[in-house]
Amino acid sequence: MDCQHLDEYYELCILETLTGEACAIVREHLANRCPYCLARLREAARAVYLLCQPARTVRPDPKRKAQLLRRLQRK
Amino acid sequence: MRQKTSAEDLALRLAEHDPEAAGELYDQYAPSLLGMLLQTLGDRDAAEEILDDVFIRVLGEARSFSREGCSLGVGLFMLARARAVERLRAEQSLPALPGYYSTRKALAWLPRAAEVEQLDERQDLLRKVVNQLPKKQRDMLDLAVFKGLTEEEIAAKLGEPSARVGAGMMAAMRFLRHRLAAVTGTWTANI
Repeated sequence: MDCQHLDEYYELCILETLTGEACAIVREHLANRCPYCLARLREAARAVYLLCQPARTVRPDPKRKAQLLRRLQRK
Repeated sequence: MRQKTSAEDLALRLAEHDPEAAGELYDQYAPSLLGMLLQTLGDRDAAEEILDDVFIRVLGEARSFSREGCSLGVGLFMLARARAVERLRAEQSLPALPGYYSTRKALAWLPRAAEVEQLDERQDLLRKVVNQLPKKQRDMLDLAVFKGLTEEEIAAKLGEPSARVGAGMMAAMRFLRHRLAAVTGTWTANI
């Protein structure tokens, strides 16, 4: 499938910044497991991951970590 | 700075229910996830609640992540952002977005753990890359990433035509894509 015309859209589709036709097409191609769109989306996800990095990190309360790990062990 | 742990090994250990592995994953990602959630929501209780839910949900899928070789780190960030944006938009009475991210479907396109490990090792350099973007483009991307706004909503907030916002963000992504390829690829660039 020739999907190069979608190259500009993958990151903005993941972010849902664009809600128009291009993202609907990408969604449809993913449902059909389009290899080109899957590969481009994988690259786009790396860029989105980079953009999601916060200006500063915040250490969670250690008690919350312990509670979470207990919850996980019970599962 | 995150501890150096092989992401693939960690995913495998999580899939095998190694009790230490969940704590290691938490130590590795929780501080940056909580930072991102706080930057989005501005409410520590809400941010911590989402942080817990996201860990439980993603760890529940650890076997699938390991089998597909997908990055748990990216999975955590994608889900945490989606949850935070959903909550923020509801609080602000903005219409819900269709929801691009769902863990199961995303396993088909999440990046490989080893690729993301490489990104994590070069976070400082990559941060410089983002800071090279023109301020207006960075502001647009921040509103998209951390506030979950659409192109039209960003345009209204910044008092810019929607087409200009769309073009600005696409230009920013083009630049980042190019620089990411340089930083993670085999060729060197003057960054």
